[in-house]
Amino acid sequence: MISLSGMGLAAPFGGLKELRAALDTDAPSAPDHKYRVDTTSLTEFVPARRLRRVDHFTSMTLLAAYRALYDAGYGETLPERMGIVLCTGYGPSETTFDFLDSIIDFGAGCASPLAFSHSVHNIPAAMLAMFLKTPCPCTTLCQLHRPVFTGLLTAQTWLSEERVDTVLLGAVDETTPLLEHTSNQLGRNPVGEGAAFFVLQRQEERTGRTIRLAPAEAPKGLAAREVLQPKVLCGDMPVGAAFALAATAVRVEAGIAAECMEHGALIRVEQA
Amino acid sequence: MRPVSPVAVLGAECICAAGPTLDTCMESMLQGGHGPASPTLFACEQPEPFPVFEAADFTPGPGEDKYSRTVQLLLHTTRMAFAKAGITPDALEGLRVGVCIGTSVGASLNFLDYYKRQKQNGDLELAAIHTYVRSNPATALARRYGFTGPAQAVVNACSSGTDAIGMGAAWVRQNLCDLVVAGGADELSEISYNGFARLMITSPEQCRPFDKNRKGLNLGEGAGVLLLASERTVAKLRGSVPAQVLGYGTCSDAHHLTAPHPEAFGLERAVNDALAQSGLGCGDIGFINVHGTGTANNDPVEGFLLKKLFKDTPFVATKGYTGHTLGAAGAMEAVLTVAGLEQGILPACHGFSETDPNIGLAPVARATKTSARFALSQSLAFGGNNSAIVLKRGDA
Amino acid sequence: MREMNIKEKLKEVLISDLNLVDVTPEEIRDDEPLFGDDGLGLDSLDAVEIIVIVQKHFGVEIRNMEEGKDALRSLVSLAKFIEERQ
Repeated sequence: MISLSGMGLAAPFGGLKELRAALDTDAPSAPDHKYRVDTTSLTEFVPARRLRRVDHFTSMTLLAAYRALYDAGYGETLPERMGIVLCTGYGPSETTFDFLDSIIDFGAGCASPLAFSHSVHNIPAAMLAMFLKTPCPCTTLCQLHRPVFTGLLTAQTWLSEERVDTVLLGAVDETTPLLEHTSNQLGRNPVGEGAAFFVLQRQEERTGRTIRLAPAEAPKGLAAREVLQPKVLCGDMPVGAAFALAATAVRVEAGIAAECMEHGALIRVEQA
Repeated sequence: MRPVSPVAVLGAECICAAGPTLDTCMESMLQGGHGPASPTLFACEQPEPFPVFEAADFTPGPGEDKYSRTVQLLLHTTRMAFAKAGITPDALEGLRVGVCIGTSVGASLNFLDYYKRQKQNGDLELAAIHTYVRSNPATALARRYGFTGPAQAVVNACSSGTDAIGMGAAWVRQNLCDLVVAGGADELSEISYNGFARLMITSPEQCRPFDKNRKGLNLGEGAGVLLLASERTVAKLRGSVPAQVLGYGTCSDAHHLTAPHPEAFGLERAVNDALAQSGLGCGDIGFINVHGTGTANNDPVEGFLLKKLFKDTPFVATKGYTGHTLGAAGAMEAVLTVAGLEQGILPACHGFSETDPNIGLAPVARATKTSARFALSQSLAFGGNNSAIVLKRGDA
Repeated sequence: MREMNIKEKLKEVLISDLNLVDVTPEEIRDDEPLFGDDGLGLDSLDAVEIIVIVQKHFGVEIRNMEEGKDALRSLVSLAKFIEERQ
């Protein structure tokens, strides 16, 4: 098991505080606007002029990551021997379509190299390392099936082989008009977006919190006590389980037993 | 990093422009290979054409039309790898088989035609979306074979394949899996073709890794896989072990979005971590498969580190035969490194003829025999990512 | 006069297409280096984007970095390059 030292969210409903508040109401309701994350408070952590190259996907990434680090008690100083694992279902979708726009609107000869480079899926994690001024192991996973479970597995692998002492695990997805349109065509729930980050450490090195996590195959017939259907608060997105995981951790911390599931895989959350 | 135990390679295969199997690739490379050509998979709409390496002699397997070309290439190579290792699907029953695959194009929302139609308010045919949903390389491979272990798609751009092998080996070591299909796959895509062209790093002619007159990279496509297994699995399958995966290292420069750190900061740490996990020093490495894209930026950075750590170690650059296959590159080069160790021969660097005085080092310029026991394969990527793995000859 | 218009338009599109937050057209000096810390502070990735910007907005092609090197020195050199080829 690994210990959870901090969490940070950049979600349509806000951050961790808003999540706690939503969990305290009986039936959290969907916002009446589109599921879009407001990242203006990123300037609390980074001066605006450093953000000229930062697209929306990366803004959500940075905001949730900074919040998680602060929540874990880090701020100006970072954990030593850190690594970054970022999981996503769609990758940076807005810049992907920006690049396609540039080809369609102006012809391949005028395709934007700037948009292309930002659409490369490991760029948000690389930019996070750059903003934190921390050369470190950095990996991005992209899949619709079990992205969060797999990200957690990789974090655990890195911690147990002592590649790093702390993993900053993030789960990020971004919506675009095309994804909304397509999901509508397919008769799916409204597409959402958001970023959730977790500061993870080996158990013996944890910094205060008492929550432990472990990815595991779900035992047959398990009736999981799930806390939150993330769809309601964030919209439908491949990494939705990350928000369910955050909610589960909040509940467990308050002494309520709960589990988090992702496509039949179990993420155990318990008090240390 | 502390040393870790070696992980057995039960089989290694690849497909690329040089051939549809590892044996045909090696044969073609040792005979001098052939150069890139104009793309046939899509129309080139750049003002100047850039030649590419498309996979040769390839037809998708039966029932595989519903997948992306990336997945088709991956399934082909995986099938070859199991066949060559003498492993039939029923022998895998009851084993926890994981899948760890690097890709770049293979996980992107590159719906160019679909999007174009949507922008023009045309009819929306969802076929492209359905193909995308079923074509995540790791998930598709796991489902095709019914594997029950973890399935992970690594998207670290041009180092993805190396990373996937490093992480897959850790899964075996940590007893999360009995066997892991680890590697990488990427088809040649119109999207990356235009992106790389406009970044002005593609060459209008055959790429020339480490050459004084290099003009950029040639894109390519392909897939490469290693079958990684625990000792127990090797015994159960009675497999032979042509090579072992030792250490893996990875480090992001945190320096620039697209350019590597000029003094190879992250690459040095990646190489040092890979060596430390292997319990080896620089002097133990018999040869290196470098990233060697042939771009103005990449080769001097690698050269800088080679001079610092591996001044007299022979190094091979294979992209002159394969093109740069992005997410597949690290995996294909690991497979070629296994072949180099096993067959004791290194192919000449195709495209190289004159040493760049700014680099001051030359890759292997003609087919060269080697008795190396250990080899290093390294990859550099967008975002300043750097990764390296160490491989060991099976009988050594 | 024409060069004047090209310069003004260039400033405008550089600010918008490169997302130069905190920079106004008036603040870009004609002879200020585009790249490096003692100028506008742009980098190699901006350079390849500028080549596309010049093609897109002015219909002038810069075939490679060799050709672009002198043109991309400053705003005024770029405007001159465009004017000579339009």
